[in-house]
Amino acid sequence: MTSMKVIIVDDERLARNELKRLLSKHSNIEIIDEAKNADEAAIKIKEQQPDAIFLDIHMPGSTGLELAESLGDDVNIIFCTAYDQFAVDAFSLNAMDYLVKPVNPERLSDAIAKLEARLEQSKQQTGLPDDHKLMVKYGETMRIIPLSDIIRFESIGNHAAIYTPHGKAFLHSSLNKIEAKLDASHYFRASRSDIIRLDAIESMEQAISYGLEAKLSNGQTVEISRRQATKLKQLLEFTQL
Amino acid sequence: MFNKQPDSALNPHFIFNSMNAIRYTIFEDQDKASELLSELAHLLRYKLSDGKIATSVQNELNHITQYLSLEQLRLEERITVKLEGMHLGEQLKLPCSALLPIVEKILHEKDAYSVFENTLNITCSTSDSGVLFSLYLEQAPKLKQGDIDFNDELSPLDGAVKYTLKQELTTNSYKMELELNKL
Repeated sequence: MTSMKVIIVDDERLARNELKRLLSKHSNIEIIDEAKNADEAAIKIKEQQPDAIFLDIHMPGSTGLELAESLGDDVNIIFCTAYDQFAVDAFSLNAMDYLVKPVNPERLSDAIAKLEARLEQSKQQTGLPDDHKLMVKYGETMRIIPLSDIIRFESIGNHAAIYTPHGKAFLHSSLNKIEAKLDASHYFRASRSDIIRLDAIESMEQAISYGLEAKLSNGQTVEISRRQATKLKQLLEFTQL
Repeated sequence: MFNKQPDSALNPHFIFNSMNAIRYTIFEDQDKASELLSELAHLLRYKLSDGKIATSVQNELNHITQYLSLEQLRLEERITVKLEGMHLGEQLKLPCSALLPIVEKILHEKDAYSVFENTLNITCSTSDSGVLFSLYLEQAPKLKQGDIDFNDELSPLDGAVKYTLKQELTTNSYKMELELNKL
């Protein structure tokens, strides 16, 4: 069962609570946050990078449809609204599903199953081989490098900085999109802002304020969040540090 | 629930949204949910007698209060409602459900759900021959501009009372005054 992180976006507290109550019956769903308008949601989505959002449409300020348009396909969107008149617009924005309030628990289960399938599929479809060639611009020079040369992806605004033996370069893509294309046996999501190459980790230390601190082969140190540190330990079969 | 025609059906959006909100409230506060469901039932029953039975301004005001409490359930901190002079006695008779559709239409036309803040003041006062019903709505960050067409809402009053209606707009506020006098 795939664990999925979601954010609920709805201007009405009662509606958010209802959805939380319904989602609490799905053990694979973790509600990481909620937002009461589109602007607040945009910030939280950027910071926390959920797997999906449950998004109302009619809200003060920007509408849910406007938020969806600005997010593109960075996050899976399940619209959740009192009216079905927006369904056509919603699906034209690549919505994953469209639930009408009051949300029917069975329809919600179907949407969650669809989300899980999509996330599983994206994991399986990913895993670009290590020798996959990438054209990367270093200053004025374009180089073709194998994927395995990248030892770290760092989120910087709407871009990702990549660190290679040739230096630092930028990709115009979100970390979520990049992660979806990487082979999980070679790359690891260290935190919201970093993906690191596993065989580039030279050493790790327990950090006081967060999980771990990894020292990479290029001399950089990268923070691994507490949650991800636990996963990394399991992945590397650490019993104790 | 405002009507496009004087005896049109109830506005399904208001009923639907209120029922949803009451349903959610059941899991938080059963007593409150029960009270709100009663208010909705009273409102529906009252609305079903639309234009058929004469009523007092006081009765109209009571139903406006019920309607607003249901809107407050959903809008919560996004609406502040202040009601003044809502106890007027029975001196002036109106067709049933004459004022409520006006309040509904104002909240609908000014789209109370698309703004972050609504402050609504409703004041009623009496004179020798009638009643002055005024509604003042402030919205932030801004108010949707334009006068509201109340022709449909006011037509049931024709032949029942004399009335004059005034509207005033600023960037953030809307004011409506309805003066009702005996024929």
